[in-house]
Amino acid sequence: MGARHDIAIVGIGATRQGEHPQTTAEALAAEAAELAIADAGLDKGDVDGLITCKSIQGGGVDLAVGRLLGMSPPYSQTLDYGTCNFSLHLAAMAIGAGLAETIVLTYGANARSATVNFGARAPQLDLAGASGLVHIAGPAALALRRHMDLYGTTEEQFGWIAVGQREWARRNPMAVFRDELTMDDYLAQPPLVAPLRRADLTMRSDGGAGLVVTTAERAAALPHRPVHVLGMAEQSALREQFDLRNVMRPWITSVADRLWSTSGLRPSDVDVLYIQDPTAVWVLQMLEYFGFCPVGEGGPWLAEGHTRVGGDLPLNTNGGQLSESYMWGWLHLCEAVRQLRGDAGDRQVAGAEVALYCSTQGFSKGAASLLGVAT
Amino acid sequence: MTFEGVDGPFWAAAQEGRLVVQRCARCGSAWWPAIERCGDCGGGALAWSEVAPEGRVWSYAVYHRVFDPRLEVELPYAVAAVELEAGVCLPGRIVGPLDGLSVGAEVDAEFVPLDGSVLGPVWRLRAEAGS
Repeated sequence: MGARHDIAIVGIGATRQGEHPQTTAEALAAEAAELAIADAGLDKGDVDGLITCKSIQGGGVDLAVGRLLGMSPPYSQTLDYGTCNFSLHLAAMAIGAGLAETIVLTYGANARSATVNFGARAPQLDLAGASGLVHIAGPAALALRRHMDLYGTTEEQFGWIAVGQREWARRNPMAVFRDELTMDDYLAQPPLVAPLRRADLTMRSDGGAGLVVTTAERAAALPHRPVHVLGMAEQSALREQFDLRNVMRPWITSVADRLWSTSGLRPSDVDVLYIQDPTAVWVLQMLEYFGFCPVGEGGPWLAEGHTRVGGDLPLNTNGGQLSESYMWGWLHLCEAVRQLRGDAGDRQVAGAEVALYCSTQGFSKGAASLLGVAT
Repeated sequence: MTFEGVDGPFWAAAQEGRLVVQRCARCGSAWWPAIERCGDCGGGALAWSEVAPEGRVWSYAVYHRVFDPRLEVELPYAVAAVELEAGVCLPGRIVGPLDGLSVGAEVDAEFVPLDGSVLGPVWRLRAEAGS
């Protein structure tokens, strides 16, 4: 595959996560970009590309963020929905095509301080909204109920996603939710949108996250151990995106098939795993679709403890969006880089050399990136 | 009442207590939500036809919180994905007793005020034969 070892992540940056009243999404994106550039050992003048990601309210475009950074790079672009995978892939393409050599990617969100209602109905008459099928928790609950019915998955088995990620978050000083969450605590939570509980859903938070990506050649001269992109894959579901049955998102298997076949790697090669998690249901789905356990067996497999602290497949070691912060998956990629550099402190996974990050744009697109360090 | 938009015929029929689905007359594809051009064959021969007001629960979610203040519901309320014989799957509130709500359960449509005075379909679990 052409991308193998051609591109590397050389800088990461994250602002404090949680609440940033009086701050815009654009300013948080700019702050994160500056942190990432500094982490890479570079100055703004060394960066010739900027890729930003729209915030939930539609802000955060490159035109606004670039001005706050005082940058006019040769290449700049904005993605509607980054989840960082799509942004990373765009950066790899821009660098591969010669449009830029070193790109800073960044995202900012102030949904908490802006009190965005993620469960608001659309303004126009529509059957889903009028029926009360609102908030991402609704479709996610449909998917989990269906999974339980088809495969016998239990609430306790499923609960190991939220409980396991909290165990990791307790070792992450940046995580917003760090209180202990035992399985008993989890099961004692009342249903929110049954079969989901509060702990199965992400939070409203403010913050920023960014990365610097460059060629492997240039990366070799920079201070941090370069984290190479070993594989990339995407799959859309544009035709079926609005079909309610698409909440199961079976087409994610195509992302996995493309990733494994083009990279030459297998699930057993992955040392640390990151799955974007607006809801824990997305984690269950992607564990199965990427081949870490057979489809339908995610429940019993989770109960075996593989993904928890001390398990053989550490998952979302930052705490994920369930516990760390809701940054559309950007912090997952920052954490993957930390782990591969060996800089993850109390939560460092010994011998982490290959990481996988899987994400989706809701019901319409999926993407994955394999990352690795030379050994 | 007139309804604008590509799903206008769905709402217009609902005011008369009828359930209609959109299909392509050329290739037969059924679409939900409604579409302005058949995505499968590119044909413009989309038409609405009445179907039996019945379906099966494909899955369901039970809400214990009202997220949107415009929703006039009592908690908890259940919303199902209801699969119709025609091939489409509609979102719909379940009314009446929820005992027996399960994947695969048979449901029948009723038309009630769903958004202000606009009628729309809700679904009631079909009583077991002999019960």
